Amino acid sequence: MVRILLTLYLSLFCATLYAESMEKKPLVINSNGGVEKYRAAQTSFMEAFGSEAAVIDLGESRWNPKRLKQRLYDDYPDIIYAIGAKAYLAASEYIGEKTIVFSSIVNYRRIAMEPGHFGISEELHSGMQMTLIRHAFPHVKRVALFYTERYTKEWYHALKKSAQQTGIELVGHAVNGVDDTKSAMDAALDGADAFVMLSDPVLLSDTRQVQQLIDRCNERKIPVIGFLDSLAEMGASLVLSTDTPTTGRQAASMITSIRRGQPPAVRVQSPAGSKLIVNLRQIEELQVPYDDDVLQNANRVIQ
Amino acid sequence: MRRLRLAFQLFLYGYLITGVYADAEPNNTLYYFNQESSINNFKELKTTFDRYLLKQGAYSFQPFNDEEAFQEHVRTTSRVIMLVSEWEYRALSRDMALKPLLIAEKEQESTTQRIAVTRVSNSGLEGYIVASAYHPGDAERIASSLLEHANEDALHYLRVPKDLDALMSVGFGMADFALTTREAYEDLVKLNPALAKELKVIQTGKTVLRLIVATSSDSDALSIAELLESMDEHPEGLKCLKMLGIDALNKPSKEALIHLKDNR
Repeated sequence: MVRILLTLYLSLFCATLYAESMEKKPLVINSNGGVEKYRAAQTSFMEAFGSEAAVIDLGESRWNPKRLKQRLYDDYPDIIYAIGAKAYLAASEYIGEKTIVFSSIVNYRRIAMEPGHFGISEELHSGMQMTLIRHAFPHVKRVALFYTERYTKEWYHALKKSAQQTGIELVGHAVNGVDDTKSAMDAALDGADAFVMLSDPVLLSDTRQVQQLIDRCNERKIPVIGFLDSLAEMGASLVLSTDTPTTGRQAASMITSIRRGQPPAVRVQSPAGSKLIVNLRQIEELQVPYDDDVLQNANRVIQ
Repeated sequence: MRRLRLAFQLFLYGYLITGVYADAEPNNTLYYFNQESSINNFKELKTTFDRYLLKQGAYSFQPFNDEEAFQEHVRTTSRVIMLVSEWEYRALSRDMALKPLLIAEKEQESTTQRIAVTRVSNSGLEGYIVASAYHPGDAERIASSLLEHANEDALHYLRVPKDLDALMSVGFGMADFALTTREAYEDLVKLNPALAKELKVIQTGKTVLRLIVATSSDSDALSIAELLESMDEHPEGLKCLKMLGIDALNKPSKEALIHLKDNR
């Protein structure tokens, strides 16, 4: 009898241990904890997840490939949150069969994603972008932009479709390179109420040309809307980007869903939080109408 | 000895007088906390307010991001003047004698309503990711009344920077429900009618007052209260108010005072 009870007790004890080990803590791999936006995503993830997670910071010199591989094989976590491309690629290479949630990867489409991997894109949903543009500039009817076939054609088409939903006509002009923009500029700006500066690696490759483009728009009293924070300092009137702390929280939400057996319907979600920089000084200089209600939603107001 | 006694008396009176004067010195800082708003531009808020207030006199603005720190500070500061939500006003009123001086308005409305929203296609009210701009604890409190159908323990809260983000998160599939305000929803209807058509309001909460300017002592707050009341008459002052999502601060109406006394 005693033997039976003891066996039963040991079985129950082992079953409990097994159950606990099934839900291991997630592993966070950070491409470089020294980079502010990566750190912000990690911090908000840890706060939102409500439990401890192990962290590997690839910015630390000790993480050579051999050491990293050994650590990942030893830990063999069920689920990984990878912040940045370096972290995601490392996790994919060594334990790609595991569930990985990534964030903070610019243009994630250039990376091959394996099944069972999820992510949050770095770029806001085009619908969110156009809604926020409408929020700041309710009188804008026609918006011009440049795009390249190779990098931003898809983004342009997505924006165009979303623009229709907000009552804005978006007119894109295909260019091959930065030099084309000079000659195409005046024609592109004719009849435009605003100009969108897409984050195209070709079009943004020459800072001087970018500044000239922005200056030309401002001379013609056409507000520039961009998606990189640095453009605000260069004279853009409005900058829209991803709110990184929200991205960390969103990654925690995705992992919670996956753990509940309800993975997100869309493998790569758009960011749930937006960040706005309103360059009020520029807007007032241009004397273009804007909705001052946008100030409530601005993360930063340049005055 | 007589001179010594006189000197001592003069010193004592002088000390008492300056002490009384110091005690009567008004507190010229407006303290702000609103747990129902995710304002992540605190530095901008303080800079913009200080720039305006300093021009009007030796006034300043101090926002708080943490409720505990805010409550600790206002409870231990004499003649404090604060700008808070109705919920915070009621919480502090339990053990502080507060007087409402001004009520915030937006487009001449001093009240607002919280709502819960989901996608039109979510007829079964399924899912559990709740997006909102509220502080986490407050999101749970608000959800308990607006998402009655849901199992509270199963809900997962996703905090986003602004009410519009919460609505767009539901619309674009990053969340299942949004806790937001009727105004934000009406704004989305104007900004993106096609997206707004895909959403529906499933519950409306009680009406609450917007921000309240309150003081623990009324005699010294009159000058700053007058200044705050006239902010909307100046472009720079209006800008400050707009950053808080309001456009005026006015004396409370009879209805507002009754509302504050009732509905506890």
